[in-house]
Amino acid sequence: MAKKLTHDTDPQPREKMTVTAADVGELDLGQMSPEKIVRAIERRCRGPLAEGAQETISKLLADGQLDEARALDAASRKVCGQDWNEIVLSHPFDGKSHETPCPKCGTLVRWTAPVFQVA
Amino acid sequence: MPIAASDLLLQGAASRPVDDATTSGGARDAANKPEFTQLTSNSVVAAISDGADTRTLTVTGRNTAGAVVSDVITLTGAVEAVGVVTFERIQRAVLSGADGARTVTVRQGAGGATRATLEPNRTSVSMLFQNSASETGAVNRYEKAFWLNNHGSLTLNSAAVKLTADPAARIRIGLPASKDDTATVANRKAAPGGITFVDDNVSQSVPGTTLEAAAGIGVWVAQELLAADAPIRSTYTLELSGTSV
Repeated sequence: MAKKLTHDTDPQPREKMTVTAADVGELDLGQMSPEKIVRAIERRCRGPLAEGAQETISKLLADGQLDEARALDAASRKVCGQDWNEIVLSHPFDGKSHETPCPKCGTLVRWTAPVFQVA
Repeated sequence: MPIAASDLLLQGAASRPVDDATTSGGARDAANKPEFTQLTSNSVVAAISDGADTRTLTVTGRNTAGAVVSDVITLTGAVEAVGVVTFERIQRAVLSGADGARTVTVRQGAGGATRATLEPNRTSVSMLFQNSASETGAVNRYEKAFWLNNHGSLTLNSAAVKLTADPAARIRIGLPASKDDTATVANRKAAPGGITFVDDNVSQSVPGTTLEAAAGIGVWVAQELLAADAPIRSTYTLELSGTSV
């Protein structure tokens, strides 16, 4: 008899369990297709940086205020969310550099296609 | 206690080249910290520990003429020790040994601003892409760092890595498809296989979108210099973000 799998929506408290690095399996990349390797990482467009923010971020970095620079970068963006893996997978895996405008928000993204070793 | 920012540690890779011939990448090195604040002007370096400490701190960097020089500073415990070499920039600072209790602070000049902190068991801080120069053609170099979830038990959910600032627009980052990977490249001019690099406009999830307690995620960093690129003195930042209960 086949096991029936159901979604668990039971709100009852569960036994507390700690997941550590020792419990994390290692992927055998040799068994994964290039597309699966690309999709193993979700990539999303962060949206455009507000005008003038880059200058302030540069000043913060020069002053060593890294946390403030990060926070300003995050706060100065209009979230886009475009799936960038779709862009990556529409290009050859040739290690070439690209500058591609986001199809959703127009932000110019610099990215580099992956290369895969052929056994 | 939920995961705090202080639980997410940036660590170096085992192989940190300072030239274009040696291996780059590898496993996580908990004793290295690839993060410090660069000097804001030419200065000597001072160091102070938070208790009894007689280790030496070897600071390497460039002097005002651009030559790579070193200064060996012997710590004098909780009393500041001041070096004698004037640096234009710091490339790395290495302690002579580990100490499980002491924190060493590296300062810009006597009594100056803090530029690096070596917490207990950390023995070095270093920058990536030391001694990397532009060439007649465009050149890419690849080095690696790690983010570690150092919380005792909690998993970081919705874990994502971003390049949050890169004013010089020379840096891209890429994540491996597995956590705590140990991949290397023969030298830093060789591209790591299977890695997609993106700039600061794209966020990348950690594989599986979780980073478990004591797990790390490697971050390959690509430095892309233009043909005959002018000297660049810039800083970029990496961010690991997520949620926890």
